[in-house]
Amino acid sequence: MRQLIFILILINFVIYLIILSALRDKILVAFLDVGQGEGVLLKDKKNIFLYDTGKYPSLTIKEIDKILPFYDRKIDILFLSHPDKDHYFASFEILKRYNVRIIGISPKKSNDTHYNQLLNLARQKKIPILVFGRGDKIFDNYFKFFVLHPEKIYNKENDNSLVIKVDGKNSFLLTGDIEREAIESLISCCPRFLKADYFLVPHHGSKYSLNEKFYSLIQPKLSIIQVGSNFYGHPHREILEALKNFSQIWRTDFQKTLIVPQ
Amino acid sequence: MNDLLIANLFFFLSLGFILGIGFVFYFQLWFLLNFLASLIFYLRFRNLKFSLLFLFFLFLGSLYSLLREEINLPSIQIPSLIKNYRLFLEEKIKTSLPFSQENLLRGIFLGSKFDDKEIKDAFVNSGLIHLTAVSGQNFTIMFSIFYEGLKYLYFLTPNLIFYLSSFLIIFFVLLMGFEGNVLRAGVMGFLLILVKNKFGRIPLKRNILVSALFLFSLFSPNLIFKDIGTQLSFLAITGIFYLSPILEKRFSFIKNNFFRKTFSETLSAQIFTYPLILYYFGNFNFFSLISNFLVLPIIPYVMTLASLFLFFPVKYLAWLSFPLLTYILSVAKIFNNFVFYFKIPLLLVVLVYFLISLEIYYQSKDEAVDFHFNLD
Repeated sequence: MRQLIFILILINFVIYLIILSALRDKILVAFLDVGQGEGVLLKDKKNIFLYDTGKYPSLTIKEIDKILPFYDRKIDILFLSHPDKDHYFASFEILKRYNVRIIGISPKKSNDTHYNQLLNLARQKKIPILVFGRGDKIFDNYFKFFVLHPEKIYNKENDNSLVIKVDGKNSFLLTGDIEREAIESLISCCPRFLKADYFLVPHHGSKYSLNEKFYSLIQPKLSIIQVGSNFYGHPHREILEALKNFSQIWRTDFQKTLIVPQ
Repeated sequence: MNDLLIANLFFFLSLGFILGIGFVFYFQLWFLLNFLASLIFYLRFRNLKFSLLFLFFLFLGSLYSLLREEINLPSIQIPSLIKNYRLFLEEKIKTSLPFSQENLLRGIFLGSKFDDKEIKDAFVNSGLIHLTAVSGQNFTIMFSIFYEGLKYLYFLTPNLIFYLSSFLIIFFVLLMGFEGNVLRAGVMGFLLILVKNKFGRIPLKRNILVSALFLFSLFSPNLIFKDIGTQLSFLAITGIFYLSPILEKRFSFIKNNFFRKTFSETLSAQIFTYPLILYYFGNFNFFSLISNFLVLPIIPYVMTLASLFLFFPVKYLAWLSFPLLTYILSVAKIFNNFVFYFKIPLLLVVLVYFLISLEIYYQSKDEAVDFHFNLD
């Protein structure tokens, strides 16, 4: 009898908890602190999107679980910008722990064994894999996603990253690991589209993707560098100095996760 | 031959077997020590026949530990159905709770290790890491849950309930993976079940303890001397057997039965394991006593939900455990900041143990070694 009462109290408590966290539910975009790697969570009232996952599963998942309410265990679209371990490797755990509806990838085929394993796992779980390219649009009831890049297959692996412009109350430009060639292609194709309030600096602030004209077209309010401790010297000094003239800088290794409420 | 004689014989012959193994493990001159031990036995009890038997078992133990690697015991294969069911349960838990909570639930329920170092450190620092280890305590809780649950089925006879819940426990042990530490916990758990629930005739406590050691040493002779985990859990059980009834009498001012029991059991297990922890690690966290007392009363409820989850793996059941798990996690996180290690002088430890053993000796006269070896 006492056990039964206890369980009833518990059920009551959990229901209140669900209602409470549903009331506190907000539309937000979070630039996650996932160590060296990229991961952006976009969440509105109904759908949850994830752009890249970072490399270390426990870091990424802990960050995501801090933001999502405990009963929400789904990701509607998981964008994987390109087959680099620091962008997709945590996806294995994400596929295990969340109900992923769709995976969106860039068109370049990869020889990376882990990446192919991941795609096979997704096929096993019967998750549709969509290949995105320039001109693709996804309209949700809050966010609008415009895929700006790639329009063709580039020689450099990094230049094939998915570049996505997200429009909500604020606009976001998510750039993956694009380098010189891809940036020039973006500038020439769609200069008007590039303007964004929040700009995810390409390739963790590597100097090989430095382009001042690109920054002047974007006119960011805040530039986010997602970076952790690394051997490459990211973010490079040149980038930090160039960005200073355009906007403030948020570094996830010092300032941790950035949450932009909408 | 009366019952007490048989019980005493069992006690001493098993002890001889274990001593024989221990001598080989620690000393080069085990040969001489075996003779010395049986000589002491003879001088104490003045019975030639039994001391020769004792000598025989000492040598049996020594030889067994030397030849154990030559003997191939049949290994136990877990049916793949149970393995798959475990995987299914783990996946189900992973998909239904947030990261830290599901880590903890899998730890308490299935004995999985923590995936994340940060959470693990919090549990180590707050002295709660033993919750996630496969332990005999877990099996006893699980057993009593099964036992109490099956009581609701009115058409079952008490004996049938006992056998059914034993069967479920065996299933649960297989689910845990049947490695060395699971086996250890299984044996310990079974002995605890026997003593706590007073099924059938209660055997002498020291015989129970010695038979656990005997089983371990049959399984792997050097386990008791090498494995810190085994030593700690053995000491904890000894504490629960001997010290906690005494403490329960002392704490009679706590009116709530359940709390008094948990409190005295926790305290006695901790008291018995501390000298060894001091010996191995050199320090002990005073606050772990408080954190354990805050968390341990919750564990049976978590286990109850987990055992329901074993048969009805739906996410809503996992959600019910969410507040409890969050509570445990927050206790661990709070006490993570209160790491307060201090050294105790060894002399003080020895003194305290001397007092404790005196108390136990006077309180449990019925356990005293009383030999009638000259009966024949």
